[in-house]
Order: sequence, then structure tokens, then C-alpha cells
Amino acid sequence: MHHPKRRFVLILTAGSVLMLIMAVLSLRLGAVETPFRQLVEEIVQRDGVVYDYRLPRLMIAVLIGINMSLSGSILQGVARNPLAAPDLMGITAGGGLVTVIMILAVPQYSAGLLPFFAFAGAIGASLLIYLLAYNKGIKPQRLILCGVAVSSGIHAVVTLLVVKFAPSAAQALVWLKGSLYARSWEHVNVIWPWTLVCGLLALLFSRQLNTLLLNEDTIRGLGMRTDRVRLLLIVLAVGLAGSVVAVAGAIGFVGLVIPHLARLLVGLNYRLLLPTSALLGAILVTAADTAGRMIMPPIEIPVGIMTAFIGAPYFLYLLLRTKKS
Amino acid sequence: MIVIAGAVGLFAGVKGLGWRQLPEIMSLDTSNLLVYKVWFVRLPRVVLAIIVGAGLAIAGCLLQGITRNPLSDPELMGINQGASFLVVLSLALFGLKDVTVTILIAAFIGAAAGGSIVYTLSGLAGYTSTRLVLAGVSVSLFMAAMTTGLIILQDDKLSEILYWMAGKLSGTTWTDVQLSAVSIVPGALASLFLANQFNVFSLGEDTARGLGQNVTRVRRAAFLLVILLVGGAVALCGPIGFVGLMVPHIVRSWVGTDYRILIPMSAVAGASLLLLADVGGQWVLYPTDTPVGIITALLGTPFFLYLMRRKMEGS
Repeated sequence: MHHPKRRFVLILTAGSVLMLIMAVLSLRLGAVETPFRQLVEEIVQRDGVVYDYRLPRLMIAVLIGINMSLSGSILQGVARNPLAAPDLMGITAGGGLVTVIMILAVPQYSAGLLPFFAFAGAIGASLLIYLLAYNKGIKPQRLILCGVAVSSGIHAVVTLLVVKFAPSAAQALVWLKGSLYARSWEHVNVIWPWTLVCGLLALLFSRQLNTLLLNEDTIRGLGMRTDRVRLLLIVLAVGLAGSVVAVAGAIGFVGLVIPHLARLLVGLNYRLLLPTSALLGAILVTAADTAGRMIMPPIEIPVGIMTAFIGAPYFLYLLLRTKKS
Repeated sequence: MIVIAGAVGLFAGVKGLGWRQLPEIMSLDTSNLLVYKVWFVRLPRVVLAIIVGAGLAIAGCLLQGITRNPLSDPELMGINQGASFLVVLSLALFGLKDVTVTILIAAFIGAAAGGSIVYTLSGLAGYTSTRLVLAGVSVSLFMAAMTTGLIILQDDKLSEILYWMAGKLSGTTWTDVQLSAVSIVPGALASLFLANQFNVFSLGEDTARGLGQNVTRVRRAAFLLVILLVGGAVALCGPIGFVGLMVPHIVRSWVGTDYRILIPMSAVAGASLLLLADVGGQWVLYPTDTPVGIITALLGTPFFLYLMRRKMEGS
């Protein structure tokens, strides 16, 4: 890390190129392979398979990647634990529960409203976790363990629902694992404001995030109101992850793994870390979604399963490696 | 406790059964529907609940011992999910026939795979319990994602597998009980024999080594036993969580930390807990059956929160 800034620029450039390649691949490949020229034409004319189906899907993948990895980066800073992530801490579980209820209870009309319910669920679960963890201030460790406990409780309820109402369970199950199947511009419109607003706010708060990495006494010595800042940052992380749950279900391991990779590349400074995370997250989700479509056509492997498949081994490797040193 | 819960599980809810029919049941006349219900539907279920409950509780004791972590549980550490993944995989490969031995072997391999990460972590110095829990949960999530992927690809068998995945005791036959006799029962007995070793081990690694104990070997033995117990339980009933978390804590507050007493007492308490949970599960949404794993998870979550808060007060 001799020249973090120069590294940062280098990685950003390389990442952007990679992102571009992935994006073109994602647009080209699918049930019908589209040549590059036709692809450009369709996008310019705003018509055809690519514009109607693949482009919104690509955009959602990118936005999801950005949101999840930013959410993970923020949570890891707030919880002061490199293992924190929205999917481990119960945020996605809450959204999942509410959505499964909606899918099973009112399957006909809920498609458009689903995002809002999922979002409400995510907020509800995070609130519950925050309250359970609150005891004269917030201890990072307690926050994490509460999240784990709450999400396992929610998981039991979801299993019960899925088991009891098995006929429509397949849909709920696919959704729970995070799928980008048949996503449209409508979904893009649900998610991008969240990415924009929460993402910018997160960048503005990168100084506070940097401070939170210091030890508790030092932080207080610097005059920061830790609980208030933590709460605000958690709200940001929930907003980011909740909107993802709303459009695509629980997409695991992106928020856990990407911040690690980003830290490895550009170091601890959140000002560099957040943009790097966002870019890497977008690349990962786009790649995972494209791969999930290509592996076993016509069956589509949900993108959440693909990210778990890619993310989990890397995570385990990290876990064992960091402990040895 | 076991006896009462067992009797309730055995007789409650069987239509047309009263005390007067007791001699009739004892007559073992298999042509009588009532007799069949009690001996071939209820009894195996009760026996299996006892064995699996005891096995899971012992596994919890051992896990909490070797990881030196009060928040350890086969479900949270990814062992259950590892076993389930391989079971579902073997079901997908060999079909849903009565190839129970294959399932058993698959469950053992899966339990070992899921548990090995936790085992490795707990052997390294300087890990914290939060780290261990998170590592376990992420292993669980990974395995669960793979399992769901498989289930989605196999959606014609969906509901059956899903029901199994929730942890169930319904539809137990005597074959299942026999299978549990070759996996869980020996595991439980072996852990009783090793109780003294675990006592020494619990004094701390350095002290144990000073007393001439081969620490690595004890850890390995305990880990193998956990795999045997959990693998057996998952193969027969699907992943059932939190019995291994709750029981050792409750029992420890009753009888202290001597493993010679702790293990048998946990077995008894675990058996009672699972029996009661199963009876409760049959009763909550009567006439449909609620999978017992869901009941234990709903009991276990508040317990986990309580434990965690208490532990945090202490430190």
C-alpha cells in the first residue's frame, strides 16, 4: 500500500474495463445470442429483446452489486467486525419474511407492491435487532449476535410458511435465494433512487466511518456521538440492502466478500474503499447473473445461489488465512 | 420427565383411545387398528424423538466443549446444513427410494464437511465467539444456498424434500429407529466413556497437556462423535436446531460442569425437550403437523438472545 491513491486509480480503471466487458457479455448472451451491432441498434431504438429484458436486468444487477457491497462495507465499519454483512445480520431476513407472506397470501396482485413490503420488513427486522441489542448504548458484538439470532428465528417462520403452503412454494423459494428473472424497468425505477441517495450519503460519511475504526475511547475523545452516527449509518445500510431485497430477494455473500476484497486492494480508508467496493460488487453480481443464465439453459440458476457459490469459498479462505497470520 | 412426555406422545390424539383399551393394546394384535397406531405409528416416533433428542443434546455439549464457546450448536455451526446438503444431493442422485443407508453415509460426509471449518477455527488461537458464530452461519448459508439450488432443479419432489428440510419426526418407522441404533446410540455411549477425558480437556488446553492428555486426540474424538451424532440425526429427521444449544446450558445450571453427569443428564433433558416439542408441534396447528425443527428453532431463538445478553453482561 505504498501509493494507495495511485493504486486506487489503477484499480478503478481496470475495474471499469472489466465491468464494461461483463456488461456487453451480459447483454449479448442469453436464450438468443445477439451480435454486437444489433445490440447497439436495439438500445438506440429502444426496442427489442435487449432493450426490454436484458438491459434492465443488467442495470439491476449493477445496482444490486453496488448496494449490497456498500451496505456490507458500512456494516463492517459500524460493527467493527470484518464478518458483518446484511445477509448475516438479519436485515435481508426480515424483508424475505414479509415477501414470502405476500407471495403466499395474495399471489395475484402483489408483484408491483412487493418491493415496499420487503422494504418494510427489512426495516422492521433491523429495528427489532437494534432494540434487542440496545443496552446503554450499542455494542458492535451484541448487534451482530442479535442479528444472527433474529434471522434464524425469522428463517424458522419462513420455513414453516413454505412447508405449509408448498404448492406456491417454488416461487417463494426462488425469490428467497435472489433471482433476477423477468425483471423490468419498473424494478430499475424502484432501486436506483436508493442507490443514488444512500450511496452519496455513505460517501459523505466516509470520514465518520474512518473514525469508527479507531478505539472507543479515542472516538469519544474526538467528540463524536457514536450512537447517533452508528444509528444513521445502520439506517443507510438497511436502505441499501432493503431495496435489494425488494427487487431481487436475498442475494448473499456480496456484502460479506466484496468489502474484504476492496480492503485488500485499496486499504482501510473509506473514501477509497466505498467506490472500490461498489465497482467490485457490480462486477461480481453481473458476472454471477450471466453465469447463472449460461450454465444450464434453459434452467436459470438464481443469482443468489451463484454469488454464494463464488463468494463462500473465498470467504472461508479469508477466514482461515487471516487467522493464521 | 421422559416417561410422562413419552406417554403423552404415545397416546394423545389417537382417536378412541382410553384407559380401558390398555389391555387391548398390550395384546399386540396387529389386525386391530388401534394397536397398529400405537405400536407402529406412535411408538417408533416417540423412541426416535428420544434418541435424536439425546444425541443432539450430547452433540451440543461436546461442541460447546471443544469450541469453548457457549453459543455453539450444530445448526449454527453449519453441521446440520452440511449434512442436509449431501442428503438432498444423494436424494437427487439416487431418487427418493428407501436407500436409507446411502442417506446416512451422505449425512455423515456432509456433517464432516460442514463441521470441519468450525473445527479448524476453534483449533486456532485468538478467535472470538462472535467470529465463530459468524463463520458457522456463513457456512450454513452457503450450504443452504446449494441445497436450495438443488431443490429448485428438482422441483417435482419439492414439497417432500422441503418438509424434510424443516426437521420432522412424522412418518417414523421402526427402520428409522434401527438406523438410529447404529449411529446415534454408539455415539452417545462413546461420549459417556470419554466423559473423563472431556473433564480434563475443559480445564484448558495447557493444563490438560500438563496432565499428560493428548489434547489433539481428544478434540478429534469429540469432533468425530459430533459428526456421528449429528449426521445420524439429520439423516433420520432432517436438520433440527437449537436442542444442542439450549439443553447443555439448562443442564449445566442444574448439575454443574462435570461431563460424567452433564452428558447423561443432557441426554435425558434433550430427549424430553424434543418429545415435548414434537407433541407441541402436533398440537399447535392441529390437525396438521408442524415440523419439530421449527418448534425448536422458535424456542431456541429467544434462548440464544437471552444467553448472549447474559454473556455480554459478564464480560
